[in-house]
Amino acid sequence: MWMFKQDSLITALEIGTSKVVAIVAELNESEAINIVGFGQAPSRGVLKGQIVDPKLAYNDIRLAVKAAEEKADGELHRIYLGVTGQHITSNNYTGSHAIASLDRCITEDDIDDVMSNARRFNLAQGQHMIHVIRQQYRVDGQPMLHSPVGMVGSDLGVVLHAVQGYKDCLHAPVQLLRRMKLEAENIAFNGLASALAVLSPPQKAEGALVIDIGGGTTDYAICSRGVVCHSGVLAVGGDHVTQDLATGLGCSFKRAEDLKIKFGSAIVSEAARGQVRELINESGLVDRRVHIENLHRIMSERLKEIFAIIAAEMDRCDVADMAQSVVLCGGGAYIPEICTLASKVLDLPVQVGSGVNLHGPSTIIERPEYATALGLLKFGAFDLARQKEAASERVPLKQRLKNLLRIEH
Amino acid sequence: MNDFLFSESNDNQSKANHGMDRLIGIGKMGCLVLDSILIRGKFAFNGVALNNDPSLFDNLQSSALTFLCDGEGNMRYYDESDANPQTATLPNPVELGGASKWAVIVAGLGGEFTGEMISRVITTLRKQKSLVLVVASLPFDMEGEDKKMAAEKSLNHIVEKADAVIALPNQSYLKKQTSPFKLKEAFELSRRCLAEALEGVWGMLHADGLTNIRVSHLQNIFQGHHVKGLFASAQADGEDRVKLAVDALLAHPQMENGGALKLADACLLQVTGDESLTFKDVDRVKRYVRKYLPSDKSLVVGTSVKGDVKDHLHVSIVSAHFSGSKPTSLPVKEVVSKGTQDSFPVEIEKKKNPTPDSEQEEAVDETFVLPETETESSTAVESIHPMSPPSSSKRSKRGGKRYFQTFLNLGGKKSGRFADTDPTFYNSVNLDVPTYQRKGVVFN
Repeated sequence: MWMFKQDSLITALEIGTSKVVAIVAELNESEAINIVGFGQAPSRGVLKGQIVDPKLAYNDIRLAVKAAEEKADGELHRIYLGVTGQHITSNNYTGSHAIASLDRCITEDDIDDVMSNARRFNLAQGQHMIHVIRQQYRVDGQPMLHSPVGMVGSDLGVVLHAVQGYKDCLHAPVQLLRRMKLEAENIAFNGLASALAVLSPPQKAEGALVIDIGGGTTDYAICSRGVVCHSGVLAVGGDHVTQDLATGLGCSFKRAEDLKIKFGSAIVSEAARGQVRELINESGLVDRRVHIENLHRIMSERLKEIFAIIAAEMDRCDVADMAQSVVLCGGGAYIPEICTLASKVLDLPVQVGSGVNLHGPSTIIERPEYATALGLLKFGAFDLARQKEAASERVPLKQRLKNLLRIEH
Repeated sequence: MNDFLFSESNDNQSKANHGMDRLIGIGKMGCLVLDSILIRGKFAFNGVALNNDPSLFDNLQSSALTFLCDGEGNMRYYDESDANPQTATLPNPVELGGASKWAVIVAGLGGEFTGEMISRVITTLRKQKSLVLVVASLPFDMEGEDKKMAAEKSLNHIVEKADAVIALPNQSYLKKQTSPFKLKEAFELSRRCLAEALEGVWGMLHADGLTNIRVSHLQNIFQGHHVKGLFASAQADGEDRVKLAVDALLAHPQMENGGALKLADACLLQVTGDESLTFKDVDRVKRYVRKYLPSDKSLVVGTSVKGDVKDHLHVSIVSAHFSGSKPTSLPVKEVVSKGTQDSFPVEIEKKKNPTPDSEQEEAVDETFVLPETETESSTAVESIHPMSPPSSSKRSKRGGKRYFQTFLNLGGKKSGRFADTDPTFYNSVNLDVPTYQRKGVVFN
C-alpha cells in the first residue's frame, strides 16, 4: 500500500563529493513541496564534483536511494539529478530580431523568432546545454523584464543565460542510475538549485549572490530582478581546505578534516594566537602539536581566495552591482566566521541560508548542506508543472472542458 | 645630451618621446646595463637612468636621461651644468621619459636604494598607465645574507606591483664553473646576462613571428599571480640543431639542467630559425621542453623566421614560477658530461674579455676569487635537490632523535588527493596547490 500518490512524488538526488543525498517530496494540490523521505550516504567515488570511481559511487548512491525509499515507503520516481564540476561553464547570449510588420507591433511570433536567434550559439563539440534562462528582453535597446508582446518597436532583443557541460561528464551519473533501473527525469546545475532553495522572492528581486561551498566544488549563482543573471562553478571546495591543512600541518587528510571541524575558523582570531593543541595518535599518546593560529591562517587563505575569485568573476561579467546580499550554503557554511570573511572580501552583507517555502523536518530544511537537494526538489516541482501545462495544451478542448467539469465516462 | 622631461616644464619634448617604450635603469647595475643596451641599439628605447651617485652618470655613453635620486624618492634631473635644478618626489608627476605603453626596468637587487626606488618608480609608471616589465638580478651568495634578504624582500614587493618580473639569480652563473671565477668577471657576466635576458624577452615579445608570443601571454602568466620568471636562451646549428639548441638551453645556468623547468608553472618558448625552419623542428623543441615541464603546466610557443640567423636555431624561454618559489635556492644536479653538446652556453662562456664599461666596476680586488660552489659535490646535490628523493636513513642511524616541524613545508607544491584529477586552473594558477604555498605565506 502506498502512502503517497505516486504521480505527485518527486526525488532530488545530489551526488556530492562528500555525501550522496536523496530527498523524496510530495507535491500537494496547492503545489507545496512536502518532504516525505530522506536518505544519505558518505560519498567515496567523487572528487571535485565528478565521479572518479564509478563502483564506489554506485554503492554510495544505492545506499542513499535505499534509505530514501525506506523512508518514503516506495520506489523513487521522477528523479531530478544535480550536476556540477569544472566542466560546467556558463555564458550570456543575445539575440535580436527586426520587427517586420508595418505597425511595428511585437507579436508572439516575434518572441519565438528572437528566442531562436539567441539560441543559435555554437556549443563546443561534446558539450550539452543544461539550462537556458531568459534574462530580459530589449525593445529598441530598452531593457524590459516582462514579455513585450503588444508593444511597438523596430528591434527586439533578448539576453539568455546558458549553462552547459560536457556530455560525458553529465552522462556518468545518469548511467549509474540506469544500472539501478532508475531514470533521471532531468538534470540541474547545483548552483542554480541551491539558489532556488535558499532565496526568498524578495531576495531574488533585490539581487542576491548564493555561494554553495561543497566538498569538491563551490557553485555560485546571482539572481537579480527575479531571474538568474550569472552562475558558475569553481572546482575548489572544502576538500581543498582540508588538503591545505594536511599539507601544511603534515598530517593525514582524515586528521586534517577532524582538525578543521573541531578547531577551524575562516579568520585568524586574536584568541587563536599562541594556542597550541596536542594531537593524540592511535596509541593515545601525544605525537605532535598544532598551532591553532597556523591552522586558521591556512584555512583563511584558501577561503579568502575562493571569495576573491568569485568577486573577480562577478566583476569580469559585469554583474557585481546586481547582488545586494550574499547567502552561503553547503557544508562550508558551517565554518566559523565564514560570514565575516565573506562579508569582508565581497563587501556585502552575508548570511547562512536554509530552505525557503518547503515543508518537512527542520533537520533537513534548515541545514545549509542540503540546499542543493532542496533546490532540486523545487526545480522538479517547476519542471513537473511545466510538463503538466504543456500536456494540457496538447489535450483537445473538448477533453480539457471535460477535465475541468470532471465529467467521467 | 639629455632632455629634461618634467611634465610641467618641457611639454614639446615630452610629446616628442611619447610612444617610444622606456627602458629605466636603476642603481649602478641597472644604469650600466641600460647604457650597454642603448649603445647596442638593437631595440629603440627611451632611456632613463636613476642613481644616487652622480659620478656614474659621467661614464654613461648613451643619451639616457639621468636623474639623481636619494633613498626617500626625491629626484632631480642631472647634467654636468646642473642647469635645471627642479626636483620632484616620486611617485609624484614626473614623466620619467614620457608616457609609453611599456616601461622596462632593469636593476640589480640587493641594495636598499634600488629596492625602494624600483617600488616608487613602478607606482609612478602605473599612474601613467604603462605596463611594467622588471628584469632584475639577485645577488651572489658571497655578497652576504643581508643583501640576499634585502633582494628577496624587494623582489616580493616588485612582484606584487609589476606586470611581469624576470629575476635572474647571479649565483646560478657560478654553479657550473669548475675553475675559480674572478669577482670582476662574475659581475661582468651578471651584467651581460641581465642585458641578454632583457633583450631576449623584449625580442620574444616583439618578434615578427609566424605564431607570436603576445603581450597578453606574458600578462596572463604574470599578472596577479605573484610570479617570478627566469630567462634562458641558446642557439645551435648543424644537422641536429634542435637537440643541440635544447641541450644548450637546458644547460643554461638559469635552467639548472631542466630543474627550473620542472618547478615552473608556465613557460613561454620562442623558436627562431631561418627559412629552413620546419614544423617538425618546432615540434621537437616543444617536445623536448615538455619532457621537463609538468604536463599540467602551460607552454606557449612562438615561432619566427629570420633570414639573418642562417642555419642557426635560436631557442629562448621564460619560465614563470608562481607562489614565491625561490629559484635562487634551487640546486643543480651534477653535470654528467655527454660530450661537447652539454657544455656551458657558448654565448656566456666565451666572452671573457671585459667590456669597456667594466672599467667602472666596483672597486674590488681583482685577485679576489669566488669560492667554488657546494653544488659541485654530487652527494650534497642529491640530498637537497627538490626533484630527488629525501636523503637516506641518516636520521635512523643517529638513533631516532625526534623531529619537530618548526616551519610549514613550503618547498614542494603538492596537490595531495587531487594529484590524479584534472587540475583546477584559474588564470593559469593551479588552485590545487595550497593557497598559502602559492602566496609564500610563512608560519612559525
